[in-house]
Amino acid sequence: MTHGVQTAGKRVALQKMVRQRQLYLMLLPAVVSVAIFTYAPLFGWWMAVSDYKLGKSIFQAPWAGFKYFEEFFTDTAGAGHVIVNTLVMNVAALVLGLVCALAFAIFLKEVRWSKFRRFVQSASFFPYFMSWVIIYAVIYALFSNDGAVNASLQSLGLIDKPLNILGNPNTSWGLIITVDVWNILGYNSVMFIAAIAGIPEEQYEAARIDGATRFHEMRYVTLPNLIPTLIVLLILGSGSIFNSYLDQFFIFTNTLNISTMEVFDYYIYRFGLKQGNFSYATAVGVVKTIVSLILLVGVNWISRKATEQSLF
Amino acid sequence: MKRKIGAFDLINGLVMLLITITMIYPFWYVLCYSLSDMGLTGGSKLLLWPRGFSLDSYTVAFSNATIMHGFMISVARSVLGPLLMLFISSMAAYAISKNDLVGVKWIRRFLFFSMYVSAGLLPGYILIRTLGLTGTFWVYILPGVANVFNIVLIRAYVETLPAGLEESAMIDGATYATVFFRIVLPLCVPVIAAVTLYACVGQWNSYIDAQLYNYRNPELYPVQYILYNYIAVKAPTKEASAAAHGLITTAHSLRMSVTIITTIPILLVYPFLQKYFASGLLVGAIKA
Amino acid sequence: MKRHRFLRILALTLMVTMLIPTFASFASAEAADEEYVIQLIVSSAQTHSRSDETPIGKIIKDKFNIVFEYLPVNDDSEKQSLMLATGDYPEIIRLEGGDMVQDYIDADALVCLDDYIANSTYFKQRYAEQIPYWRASSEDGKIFTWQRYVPSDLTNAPEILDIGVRSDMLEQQGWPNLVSEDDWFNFLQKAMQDNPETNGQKTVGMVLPLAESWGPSLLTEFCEKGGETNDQGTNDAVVWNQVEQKWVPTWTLPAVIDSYHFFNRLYQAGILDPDCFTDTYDQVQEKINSGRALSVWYCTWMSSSANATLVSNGNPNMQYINMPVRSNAQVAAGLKRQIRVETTRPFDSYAITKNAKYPDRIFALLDWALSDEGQILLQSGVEGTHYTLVDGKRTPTDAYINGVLTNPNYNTDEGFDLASFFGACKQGDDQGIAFNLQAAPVYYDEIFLSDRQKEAYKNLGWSNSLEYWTKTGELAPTGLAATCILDPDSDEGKLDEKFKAWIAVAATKLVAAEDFDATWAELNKEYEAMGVDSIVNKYNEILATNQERYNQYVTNP
Repeated sequence: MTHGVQTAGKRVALQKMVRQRQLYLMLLPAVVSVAIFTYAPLFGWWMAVSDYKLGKSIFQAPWAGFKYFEEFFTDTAGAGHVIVNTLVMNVAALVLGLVCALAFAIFLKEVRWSKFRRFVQSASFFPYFMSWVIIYAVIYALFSNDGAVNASLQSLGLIDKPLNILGNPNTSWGLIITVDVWNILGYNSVMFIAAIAGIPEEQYEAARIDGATRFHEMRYVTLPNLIPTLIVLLILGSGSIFNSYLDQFFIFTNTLNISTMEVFDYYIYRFGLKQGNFSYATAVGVVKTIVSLILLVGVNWISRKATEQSLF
Repeated sequence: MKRKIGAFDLINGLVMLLITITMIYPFWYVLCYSLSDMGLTGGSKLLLWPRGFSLDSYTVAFSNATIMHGFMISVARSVLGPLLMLFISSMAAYAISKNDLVGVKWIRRFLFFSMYVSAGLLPGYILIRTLGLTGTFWVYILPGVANVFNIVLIRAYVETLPAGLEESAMIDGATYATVFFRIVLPLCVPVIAAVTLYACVGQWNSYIDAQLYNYRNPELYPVQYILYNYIAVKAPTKEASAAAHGLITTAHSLRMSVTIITTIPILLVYPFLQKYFASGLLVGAIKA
Repeated sequence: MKRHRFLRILALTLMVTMLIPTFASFASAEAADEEYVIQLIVSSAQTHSRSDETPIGKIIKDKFNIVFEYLPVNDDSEKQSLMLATGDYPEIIRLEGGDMVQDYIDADALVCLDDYIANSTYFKQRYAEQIPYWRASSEDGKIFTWQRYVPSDLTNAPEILDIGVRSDMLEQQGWPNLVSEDDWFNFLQKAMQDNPETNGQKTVGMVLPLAESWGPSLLTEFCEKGGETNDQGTNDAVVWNQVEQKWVPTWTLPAVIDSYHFFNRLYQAGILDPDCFTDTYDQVQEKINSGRALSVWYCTWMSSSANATLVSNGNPNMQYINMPVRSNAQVAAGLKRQIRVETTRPFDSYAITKNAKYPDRIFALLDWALSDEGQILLQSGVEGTHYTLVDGKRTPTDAYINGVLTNPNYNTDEGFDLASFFGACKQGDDQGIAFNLQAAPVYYDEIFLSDRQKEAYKNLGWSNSLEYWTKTGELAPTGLAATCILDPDSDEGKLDEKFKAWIAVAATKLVAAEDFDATWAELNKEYEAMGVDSIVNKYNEILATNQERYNQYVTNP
């Protein structure tokens, strides 16, 4: 391209920007906010490569090379099972959670009686309000050695010794995945329900004119309209698959099931975050961010190739 | 056209009922437990109704006089926060939905990546302090004002709207702002309602920010933090004395009543918002 | 004319410079007179927000014009780290543990107390025993903190935590004086057979909250019940031998092996609650509140709440009392129990920070507070209101007794919480009556034991609730042991973290093992592979260093 055309291109772009200035104005508060509250604190990443001493300024901390990263990698070298635990539970909970929420939203729409439908939808939100301590209390009442489930199974004669569900390395994954899906079903489904509410009525009419049954409607009208939302939520969730709620795992992890229940954040909390070891914690945060971003970009790319839809 | 109730409906209804029970039961359990007489309950059995009846746990929880003030703070942040967030985030969502915006790819990346970038507890704290937000009410509102997750959701919704709407309006001379506020926003009611719900609940439930930034300012405590503190702060001596006072309660039971106290208000707000995001809109009629 | 002006200016300047000291003293006089409000982070919910709303706080205000504002906030070690990192610490701070204190000192956040101490009246006297130890625990020998609950002596009843057991079970079996592990095993087994259900729920023999972070260490407690060692120290890898004054490894200690073996027996016989591995504090509390648990291990302080519940729901005879336990080997050896008496207590350190507006005034208050008069005010209360003098001995008033027993907020209502910040010394006056009337053995049983508990001890033939232990134990002052702190960033510190994680899992395996000896041998191989001896050696090194320093300081305080 000749120089002339390039500058011409730039001029056109500038003119466009002027025309679009309102859009920039609309973006401004959000971008500034994100810059300040999310990107600005990144100066703190200096702690990951310096010997930060509590109480002194971060910027005064002397260069320490990558020793905290090395420490982290040596610590986790023997902790492959922790990564496996984390990934299995999080990926399964993410995928299953969204799929169940989608199915729930679709079938909910089919409920005839609107009062009941609204009641069910409200009920699905209840678990979201409960702290893990409370949720565990209920699970304990159900699944502990003296809990209701064991008591009934025993009285029905199906088992003679109680099943130790809460303290068994074989049940950890199933337990957590089930609990997670249950917990956010209502939360996830809100998005899908909102998306369903936005489906134009004509699409249904058109389908019915073509002789569609109710099941056809669900499969060929409702479902396709929800796929974009599903994909967006999947991509968004993929960046977080190394993160876990510590509250949850503090409560569910015990010495009996720790081999399969221990997750990455719990492991790091136990070994790295004690006693203000901020340098180590920051190094871990940096690694996690990089990995999450790679995942995010990767999943987004896959999505673009497979469905032509992506976030960015 | 009304359809007959078929077998599918019955099965569907039954499944929904079962799901509802699993969703509600834990909450019901908490309610029953909080109303139970702790002198009787002791086992880990299922509760279908309160064992005995006692308001002692609630009495102990409410004996903290600052709760009323805490409620006001919580209500204030649950209203102001979502409002401001909606305004800023929806505008941003609209702007980035425009593929022909110069630099939009970079702006999108800038925003999305921020969701996965975390500098850590300490630098965040230092920033808040430098901005002078520690010990203020605004620390509850300002950091969350550009919620990228919500921006993404709203943008996704906006993109499903028919392009023709905007085009015809702009040909008629409308500016971007007019199009957004007059046309697009009203059509986004379902997603806005959903996002508002998330935001309200998020604001209502949050206490970590109070714990980090405002713990030296009791007049700014939201109710969740007051109650969290009440329980997290060494419980054993309190229960022992409470027991001696004739009020039988345990830390466990206190947690239950605290959960109920802090959940009831949001449950009242919920049906109101549900009307909006679950209702269908006659989008077709608006098509010019 | 110029000279005039010059002279006038000179005169003015002279006048001003002469007046400045007057203004300055004005200012500091104001400082001494002005009300000084200090924010304190406290660990329990408060009924008042200011100390001068309480009787004790009023007196402090009258004397010193200092008022405290209470902030009931959870100040665990994470919070303490964060406060240091941001410089947002209060004027008087509580710090948990030696390494936290060291972090604050390194960051220059604390006021050095050496000069104040040299000029103090009561601080020096009260902490005469402690000061050399405090100096010995740091490299430069400077003192920046004081500690709560030290010094302690016999005027305060020692804390004994063995087994809380349902008194009606004792009654059923004729009030046996249980001591050895065999006694307990047989007793619990029979009790469970005879009482399969309690109030409609399945009975469990023994409960303990192993899911708590401090849970695994509960399983090694035989080490303190009788013999040369006690469970001094917050470390799981080492145990303190009081008699030989040195650190020994936990894992290979015979009493510890016996401890695990005891629990293994209980587990295999179905006496130990199978849920114990996953039980948290709350769940254990529930079980004893309902009386479902026949006994609770070590956490006997949980009984007071349970007992109150049992009384109010009509089961007063089920109340728990504290009874002793020893391993069979310990009973056979007949050695005295080393009852830990804390000389120093780094876990509960208090300091004046650089954020303090008037550190002099704070120290003045602290110094006075450490006198007998001060401790009596802070711990016993106001004469006439909380106690009276009967034959010169402090006796609790009826209002006090009533308050403690029936008012859940009595301590905070009256202002007793302040004592924590100013020593709360476990000592007594020259009459031998403890400063804290609730800890005085002569009052404790009378006032605080329920009728049923008194009855139970009487039937067991005890003259007071601590008789067994006072007869068979001797006071073991912790001395240098408490000054030994491992640097968490050192190699040994890191190994220690790994050990903690390992022992938690290993202990569970041992308790649940079908073949105890084989499992122990296997785990022992793992133990040896870890090289925990380096931790033991390090501790003994630190001990030796501190011993040397201590010898210096005890002659030159």
